[in-house]
Amino acid sequence: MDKSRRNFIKGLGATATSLALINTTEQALASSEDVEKGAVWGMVIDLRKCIGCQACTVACSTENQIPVGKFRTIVSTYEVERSGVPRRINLPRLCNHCKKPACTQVCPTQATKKRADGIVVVDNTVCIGCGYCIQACPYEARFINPLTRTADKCTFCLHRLEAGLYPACVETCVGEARIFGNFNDPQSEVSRLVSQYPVGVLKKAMGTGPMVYYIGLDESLSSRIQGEAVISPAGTPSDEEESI
Amino acid sequence: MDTHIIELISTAGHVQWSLTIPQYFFFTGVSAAAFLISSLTYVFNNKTYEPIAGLSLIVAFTVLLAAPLNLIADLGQPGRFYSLFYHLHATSPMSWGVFLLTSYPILISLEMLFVFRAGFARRAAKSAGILRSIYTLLALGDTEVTPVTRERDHRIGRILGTIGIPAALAVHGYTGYILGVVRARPLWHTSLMPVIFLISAMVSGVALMIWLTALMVRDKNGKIPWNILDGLGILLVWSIVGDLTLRLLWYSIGFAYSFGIFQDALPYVFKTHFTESVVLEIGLCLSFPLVVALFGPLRRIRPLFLFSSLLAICGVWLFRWDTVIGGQEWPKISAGLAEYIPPLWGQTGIMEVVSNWAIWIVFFLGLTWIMPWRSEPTAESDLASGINVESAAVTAKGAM
Repeated sequence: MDKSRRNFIKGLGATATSLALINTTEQALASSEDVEKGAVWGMVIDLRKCIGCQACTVACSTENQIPVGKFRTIVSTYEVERSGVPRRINLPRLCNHCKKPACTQVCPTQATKKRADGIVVVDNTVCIGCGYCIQACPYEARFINPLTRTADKCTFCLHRLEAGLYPACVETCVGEARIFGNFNDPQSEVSRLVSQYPVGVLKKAMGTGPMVYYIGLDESLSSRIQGEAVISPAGTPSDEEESI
Repeated sequence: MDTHIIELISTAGHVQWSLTIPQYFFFTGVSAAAFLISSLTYVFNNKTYEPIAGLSLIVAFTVLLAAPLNLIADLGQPGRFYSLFYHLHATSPMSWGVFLLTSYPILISLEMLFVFRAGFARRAAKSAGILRSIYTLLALGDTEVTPVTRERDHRIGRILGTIGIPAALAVHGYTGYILGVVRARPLWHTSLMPVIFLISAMVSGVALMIWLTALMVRDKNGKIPWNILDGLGILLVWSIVGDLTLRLLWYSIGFAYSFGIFQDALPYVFKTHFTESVVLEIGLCLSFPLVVALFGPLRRIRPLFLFSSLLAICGVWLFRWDTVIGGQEWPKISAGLAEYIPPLWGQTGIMEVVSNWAIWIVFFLGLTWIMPWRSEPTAESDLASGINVESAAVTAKGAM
């Protein structure tokens, strides 16, 4: 590779990094101020922009040190064929941080709670790993972390929020399909999107009031998938021991 | 518009509650049923079941000592189980269970102390040394056996038994409640679940008592008391009829009139699990024992009756399995089905359940050895054997 070409690639990399930093800076949150104002965090996922690259899945797993085979977020991918026309649909999934969470209601030790800012968290020093919350969650958003042996789930990257940063999945999203913000602020982007676009939530009939809204949600994917499964990155339960 | 979906990538639905949970549900059910059988005598004064009342109480107590071990084994953090006592949550049925599982055995043990007190007093009178002290302690320090003390023991036993009936219903009913509240699982989410659990528990409890009576109880002639077994057979019939009726209500309303998620899930029970849930569970393990126990000529073929009772026990266990494991195999979001094959060894393996049965057998044999559960001698025989004759006579006079 000649020198000029190498310099060009270096320059390209530097530009990309700078743009990423600018983007991060622009998106950074003033979390403490928002909390003081009584922020209620939530997410809007614009499915028109999701390309199914799984960058969010990887960013989340790396950021939160999730053991292999377990996921706090994942982009479910489907091939939907209607009238002989196949179409690929991506559906990012994560904890919905519901307004009325079914998981917190059944937790016997109150290890899992809904915070005032709407984020549902698990205190893994109190959780006994009974799995009742995993049964109660209609979204399969929880799992037993093989390392802590307690319930685990998305926290909207609470540690990042407290540092004024967006969740890792939001920050890494290539198409900016994941938009995070304060639903208590009518000027926030999430509030604006929800008021401007028809949005849907997963399993509305469960009455849990998800705080993750989707733009362009295909009705046939909003509940249990009635179709055939091909592969699962989470593997089978017998793989669990190996995944630790 | 015809839609065909192929799921390429998704989270897999896992079976989170393992083999130990059906075992836990089974044992708490047996406890509730055995307690109710003992209450026929101790609360409702039914003399027919008197020879097995004490035995039933011991069964109720011992299975409830073994049952919670299954729960602890299924925890991700078993060492933290005690924190359930001080981290409470009023909206969690599992949190209620902690108090039920604690208070109910205490209640049964208190009842045992009173209903067996006369027996302990008799053993104290016949023993010497440290054994005498132990029996005296178990007789609550009162070694007198008189009509007055009998009446007092009976009265207190009756009060404790009366309190125990709702406690027994609650200790097993709450397990059905645990499942019933989970609306994310269509095969669990029915208000009937606690009642179905209770009625099917009666099936397993009565069937187990049939076996234990045949193994451990003998009449005056040293024969198996078939009259008691016939009575239990009729109880078994009523329990199975109740169980089948509730299943019919559950499945028919759910399948024909309920929400789509239930209508989708139910065919899975009857198609994918046809052999387990229809052929074995409803056919062989419920309907067959029902026919045998219902008709006298069949019931009197004693090996057949005992075999069908064994099938009824297996059927209830299978129902717990089909409900707990089968309910989880139906994923909440993913296409397809989750698979679960229990491991042989390990915290939640098959051997855990086998060892749990072994633990119960040890508790059961230990307590049946210590407790004077066999039919109590009458006051006359006490007098004849010279136990506290004087005090008995004095007290009897006083009572007159």
